[in-house]
Amino acid sequence: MSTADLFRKLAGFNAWANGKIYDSCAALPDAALREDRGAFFGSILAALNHLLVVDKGWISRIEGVESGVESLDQILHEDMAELRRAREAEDARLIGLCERLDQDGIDRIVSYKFMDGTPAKTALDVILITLFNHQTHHRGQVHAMLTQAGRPSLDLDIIVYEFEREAA
Amino acid sequence: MELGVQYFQTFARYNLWANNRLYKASAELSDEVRRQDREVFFGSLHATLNHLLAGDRIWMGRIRHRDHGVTRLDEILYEGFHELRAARTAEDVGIVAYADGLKAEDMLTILEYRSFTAGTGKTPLPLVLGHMFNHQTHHRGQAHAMLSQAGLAALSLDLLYFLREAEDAPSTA
Repeated sequence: MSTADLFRKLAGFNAWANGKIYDSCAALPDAALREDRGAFFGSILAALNHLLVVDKGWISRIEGVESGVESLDQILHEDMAELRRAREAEDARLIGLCERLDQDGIDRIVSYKFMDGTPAKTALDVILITLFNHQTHHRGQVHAMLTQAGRPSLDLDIIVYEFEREAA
Repeated sequence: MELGVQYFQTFARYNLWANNRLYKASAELSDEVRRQDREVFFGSLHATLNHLLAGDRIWMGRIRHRDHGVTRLDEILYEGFHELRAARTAEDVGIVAYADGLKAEDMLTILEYRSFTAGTGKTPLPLVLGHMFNHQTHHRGQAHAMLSQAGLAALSLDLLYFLREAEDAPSTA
C-alpha cells in the first residue's frame, strides 16, 4: 500500500462516515440540529458547516482555485438538505483528487494563502493527513452531540468500513 | 513505493502530544465533573478516556502478539485519574517506541486477530495502524466536546499545529 493508496482509502472512508452522520442527522428535527450544545462550534449544524469549510478550503488550495471560504465558523448552508448536497459534492471532489494522486508527487509543496492573506507553503501529504485527521476529530464532536440529542451511537471505525467493503 | 513508516511515527508522536494536552485540560476538572454522564457513547469523560486506553492496548496487544488483558470495550481500567494518566503516558511512550522500530517490510504484514464484535479479522498492518490512530482522534473529538461543555477553553488538537510546532511541517512520504 502506497501513501497515495492510503489516501484513496481514507477519502472513501470519509464519504462513508459522513453518509452515516448525515443519515443520523436526518432523523432529528431542525431545532435539534441548531441547538447550541456548547461544543467548539456550538451546534451540530455549525460543526458540520465548519467541516465543509475546512475541507473546501484545503481542497481548493491543493487545486489552486478560489474556495470562497471567508472564516472558519462560516455557515455555508443554513439548510440541512443543501448542506448535505454540498457535502456529498465535496466528498466526491476529494475522492477524485485522491484517485488522481501520483505517488511521486505526493510530497510536492503546495503554495497558498492563509485566510488573512499571509503566504504559506505545506507539503501535499501533510495537508492530506491533516485534512483526514481533522475530519475525524470533528465527526467525533458531532457524534457526541448526536448521542446527546438521543440518536443511537454510530460505528465510524475504519476497520468497520473495511469489513463492510470486504463483505460487499 | 510503499507507505513510509514515518507516517506512523508522526502519528505516534502526535498521539502522545494530543493526549498530553487532553489530560492536562482534564486535570483542571474535578473528579465529579470527569465522571458526569454526558450521554456520549461511553457516557463520561473518564469512561471515554478509559475506552481510548483499552482500544489502544487491544490493538497494540494484537500487533505485538501479546495478551492485552482487556475484556470489554467499555472496561474501566483505572478508576483513579492519576493512575489512568500515568498508564496513558506509558502506553503512548510504548506506541512511539513501537513505531520507531517499524521497518519498511512490516508495512506488508497481514495481521490476523479475533475481533470483539466481528469475528476473525485479517487486515493489512498499515490499515490497522491507520484505524488505531483514527480511532484515537475520533474519541479525542468526543472528549473535546465534553471539555467545552464542562466550561473549559477549547484546546487545539490539530495535527498541522502539532507538526508546525514540532518541526515546521516536514513531508511524511
